[in-house]
Amino acid sequence: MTWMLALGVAAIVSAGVYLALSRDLLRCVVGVSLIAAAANLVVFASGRPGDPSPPVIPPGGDVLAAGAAPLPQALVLTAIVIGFSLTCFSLVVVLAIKQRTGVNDSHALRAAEPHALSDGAPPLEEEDDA
Amino acid sequence: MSEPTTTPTPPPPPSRLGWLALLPLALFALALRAFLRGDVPLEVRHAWIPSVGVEAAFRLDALALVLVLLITGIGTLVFVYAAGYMAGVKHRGRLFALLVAFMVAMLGCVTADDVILLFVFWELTSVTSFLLVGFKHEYETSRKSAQQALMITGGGGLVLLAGVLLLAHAAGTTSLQAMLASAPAWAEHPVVRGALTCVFIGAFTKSAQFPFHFWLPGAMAAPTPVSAYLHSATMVKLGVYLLARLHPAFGDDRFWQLTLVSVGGFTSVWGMLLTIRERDLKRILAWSTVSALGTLVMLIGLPGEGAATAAAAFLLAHALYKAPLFFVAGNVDLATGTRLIDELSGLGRKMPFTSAAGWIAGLSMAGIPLSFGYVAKDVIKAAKADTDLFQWVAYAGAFVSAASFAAAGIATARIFWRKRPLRPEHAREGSIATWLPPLLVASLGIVFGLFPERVESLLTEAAQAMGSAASMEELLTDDSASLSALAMIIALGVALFLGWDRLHRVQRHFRLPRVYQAAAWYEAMMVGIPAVASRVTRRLQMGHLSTYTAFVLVFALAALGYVVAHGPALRVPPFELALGPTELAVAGATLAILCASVAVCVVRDSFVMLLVSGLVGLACALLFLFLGAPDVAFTQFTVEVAFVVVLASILLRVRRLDLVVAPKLPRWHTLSRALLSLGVGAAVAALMLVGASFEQDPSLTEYFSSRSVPDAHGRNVVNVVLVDFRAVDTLGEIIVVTLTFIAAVPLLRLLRERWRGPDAPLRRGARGMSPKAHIFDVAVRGLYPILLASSVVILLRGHNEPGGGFIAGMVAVAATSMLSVARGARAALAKMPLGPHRLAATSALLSLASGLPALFLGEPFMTHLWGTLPLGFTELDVSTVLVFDVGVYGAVWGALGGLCARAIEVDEPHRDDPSTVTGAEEVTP
Repeated sequence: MTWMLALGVAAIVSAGVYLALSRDLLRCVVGVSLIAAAANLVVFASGRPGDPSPPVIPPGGDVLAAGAAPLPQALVLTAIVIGFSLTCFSLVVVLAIKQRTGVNDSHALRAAEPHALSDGAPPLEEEDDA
Repeated sequence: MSEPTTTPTPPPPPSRLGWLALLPLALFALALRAFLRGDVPLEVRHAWIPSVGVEAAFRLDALALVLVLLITGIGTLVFVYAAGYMAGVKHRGRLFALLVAFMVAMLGCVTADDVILLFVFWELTSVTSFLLVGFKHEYETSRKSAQQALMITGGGGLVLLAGVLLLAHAAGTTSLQAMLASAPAWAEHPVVRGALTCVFIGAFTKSAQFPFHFWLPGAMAAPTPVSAYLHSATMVKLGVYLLARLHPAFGDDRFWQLTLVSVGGFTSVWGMLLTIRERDLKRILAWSTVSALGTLVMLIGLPGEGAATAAAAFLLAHALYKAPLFFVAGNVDLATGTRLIDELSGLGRKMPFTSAAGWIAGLSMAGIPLSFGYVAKDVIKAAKADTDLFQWVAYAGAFVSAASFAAAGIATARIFWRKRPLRPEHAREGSIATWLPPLLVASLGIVFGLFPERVESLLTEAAQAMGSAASMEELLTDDSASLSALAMIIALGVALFLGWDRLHRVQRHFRLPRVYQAAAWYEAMMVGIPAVASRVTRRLQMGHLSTYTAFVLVFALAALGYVVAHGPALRVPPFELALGPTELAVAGATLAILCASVAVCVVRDSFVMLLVSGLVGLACALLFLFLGAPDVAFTQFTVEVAFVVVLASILLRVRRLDLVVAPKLPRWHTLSRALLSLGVGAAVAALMLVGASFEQDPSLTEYFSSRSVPDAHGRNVVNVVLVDFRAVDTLGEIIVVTLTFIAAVPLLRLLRERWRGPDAPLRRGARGMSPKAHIFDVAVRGLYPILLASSVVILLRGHNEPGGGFIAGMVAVAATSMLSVARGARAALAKMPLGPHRLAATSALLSLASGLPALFLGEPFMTHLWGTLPLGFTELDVSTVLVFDVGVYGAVWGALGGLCARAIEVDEPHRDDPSTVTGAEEVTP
């Protein structure tokens, strides 16, 4: 089971990193969200999954005798929701960047690190295109 | 380089700041008294950095005393002179403040008995020198000269630090006295050679030795009192002082002797050659100072008993004639507005006192009665002691003496000779503060020349501190050989003096190519360093996000590889192939993940890529479902649904923009990217496997499993963990979700408004969400209430069955997203109770509030309370847990539902903009 999950994690992380290394901002965001999904799987796998029954205590009993580990599930559950909200936010930011610059190439975004002048000195003031 | 010209007016009265001269005068008196009463050497010690044995230790011995007397004695006159020279000049207060600071730094440096302390004061003199040279900072030349002086002396100081640290390492102490006392024990230490090289660089930069000599004439941009004080009498002597101080330890070392004699000897000759080329009075003096410093360094390096005494005597003599000559040059400058010797002559008639001072100092410099005369003789004498190696030193000494005779003539006779015509005619004597100091110092030189026994004991003791035993008397014995040598020198000097102008005309044709000039090297360095730095920066900081990411990942992989290679052995769990139903189901889901992962990298179309990435999420959800995590699986499902809906709406907008597509990358680029990704994926998976090989601590799982029902009255342990055991975490998480929404809303509003602008082409309708599909519309109209109702059921039953606030919230988000697509975001938002912002905020507050009642009962925050509400026909369990979970539900719904709806709204036509609503189809091309 662990090997199977590890294979899945390897596949998702590889795909996520591959996309995150892209110059296309949209792919970067998707890549990061994939890496987040893989991280969820890793956390989930730390509970030694294998038991297909959910961690619900049957009526009458007071103690969970068998079932998957509950704590990793709780962690993953909130992580999914937060990951979703952050992915949505990143997408909105990417969209705003695209709209403002008309460019989806991360190499073309130089506002924070403007190109040096011909003599190597940093430009003093970047013209704001707003 | 010339100072601003001043038109001669009646000399202004000296500045009252001149009274500051009392400070160095008092110190001078104290030092002199200490010497006369035989209190030397004096020691003061305080712990400073005891952990590394560094002390604030000061020691005043005869060698330090010579320097201290020079610093305070000449300092007194410099303050007086500056009062006259700077009278009426703006900001003169600063100059005096800096001079005081400089004097303190100098005194600290020559009395420090700890090499670290010495370094600190050493650098302080560099800094004050920088500020003093740059006093007239309105002039670019001043700023450049100041920077040059700082770069060279300050940089040399840093090298010196390395040197003294190495010496301290070798000697095992930072105390100079202890170091010198134990020198034979550690002089063979392997780092000593390198340490000495560093110390040499420090001393040579400070004392303007070749090839660092060029900063000193540049520093003549400083006001004349500063030039006289720092750049002839005191600061530039620091390097000489340091070498003299270390001389007892290394005086017999061949490396020490050879380096000092060759560098010092070359500098003294080279400095004199450059002196002969100058026509600016101050620069003539500056170059001859360089030459004198070279002579001093050479004297320290010379073997033989007399050299140290000669060095001490020359140190004093040079200060006594060079400082007044600088004062004289300053007076001439003040009086005439020029320092060029071509424009000056016959000034003795109008400036009697200055001229007298100049004559007296000039005699001393020419070496007729005292100083240079016998020093040059001593050089010859000392050289005789070791004829085979240092013979040429004698010739160098003779040339330098002759040239300095000529320079003295230029600086005095040529401009003050009364018989020659007066030029310029407006010249006049300055105030007493300007001519008295040079007269006093220069006269002192003559007094010592006539009565050398006055200073004999001091100089002999100083020489003893330098490890020499010869007394002055031995050196003062006259013989015919030295007399004939003197005659020869004077003859050569007169010839040089008379031929000065002719020499100039000739030497103009022999300029050293710039490649061989140290100053050109310095300039190239000042240009080169920033250029190299910017090139390196551009190489490493190219502004490419993906490259930065790759750097980080490669580094992380390398670090991981290092740990694996050098850490303890790691195990992975055994690979086993079981074929139960669960395993098969998981295998299927993993296969789906694999396929989707490959596909997401390969597809070129963004839209398809996003859909495929949704597939990865769905496959994960399946995994969760098969592995006993229905809550997680449901959450993931709903998230994927909402994700795809939002993405679809956003992407449609993106496609409609005319984007500049990223250029296609070379094949090796894609290949290396793929390799790196696979490496990272494999590393993460490997880490996961290694982690799985460790024994798990079951205590947490057991705790949650056994306490869930008794303590928290819930059977769904996952939900109980979320809302009860770890409720504070959950609270934080829903606040994050709410904040994300709040942050995204203004961006989304901006997006929507921008796209309305006239310059954004609207090609609405073609691939947009409208025209709406009627079947979808009708279906969603029915689905929406059902979804909402089921979300409430999921919420309420969550505590005992799979479900809970998060899942219920996500179901509601999915419902809102669908409604937004079908009937418009505005309608969907209107259907949310309170509206998205208020719903999210109120719900988060509700969750927060549900933890408060416990505080009143003295329990920790978020301890949930339970009660039973009798309804007559049945009893209803009520608890703060339910309130908390409702808060989670509302926060997720409000924040994420609002986010999705607003994102979809971006793409919608404005209701108040008829052209976009009705004209949707017409605009389509």
